[in-house]
Amino acid sequence: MAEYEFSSGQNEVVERFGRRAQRLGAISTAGGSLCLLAAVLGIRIEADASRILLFLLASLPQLSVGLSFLGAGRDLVGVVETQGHDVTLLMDAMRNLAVALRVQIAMTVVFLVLVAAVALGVLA
Amino acid sequence: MNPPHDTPSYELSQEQNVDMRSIGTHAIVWGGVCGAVAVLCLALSVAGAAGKLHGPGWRLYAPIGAVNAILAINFVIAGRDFRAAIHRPGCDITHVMAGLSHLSRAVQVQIVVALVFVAVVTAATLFFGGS
Repeated sequence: MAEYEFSSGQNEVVERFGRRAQRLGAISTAGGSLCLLAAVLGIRIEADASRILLFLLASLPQLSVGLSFLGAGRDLVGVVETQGHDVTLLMDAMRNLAVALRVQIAMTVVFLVLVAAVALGVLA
Repeated sequence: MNPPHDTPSYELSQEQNVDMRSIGTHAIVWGGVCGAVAVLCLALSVAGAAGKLHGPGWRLYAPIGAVNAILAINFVIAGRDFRAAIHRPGCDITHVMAGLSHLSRAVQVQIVVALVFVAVVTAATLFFGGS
């Protein structure tokens, strides 16, 4: 069954967002990889365990958000570059974006709870 | 092949509506989280200006709060656009495009934030490597 094809203006909106999502995904993935590298370096030089843990914890959301945005961006650029599956590819991208947002929400809430716990002296 | 302007616009299926509701809700919740962080940063900034916080670090709270406020506005508007695609029949794709435009703006801001994060981590990694 033939699917709805986006107009050139709609393709422009989708492509712009797709490229930005890919850029954000690449930067977040690089950031997450750097955090892992910092953690490994920290282990090698026997640095403070809390710093190593901080880098490890920071790497997980960065990598998962980065990979999700990369996937979403790839799907969105695919919408423009292919013909016949625009809405299907858009929905794939939407699902990847929802995963990225879910990870961001969960990690931020955990971070805020930890900050609140430290501020209230629970973890001190 | 683009549809002519006089054809009825595309209506999302039930399954696609579920995906759209999911991304809309997540965008609104993430916007809410960013808004909460913005309010918290603003409160800390005011407390710092009133001399209730020690050290110069409180000066960072105002720009962090401003960035989060921009993110919050764009994510909430994008989420509302995505949800409008479900609840208002007739212009589904128009609402989806409006949502994508707002998400695009928010992602642009997040790119800058991510670049700052990478710069800080790179500096920390070099510090680890050098020590």
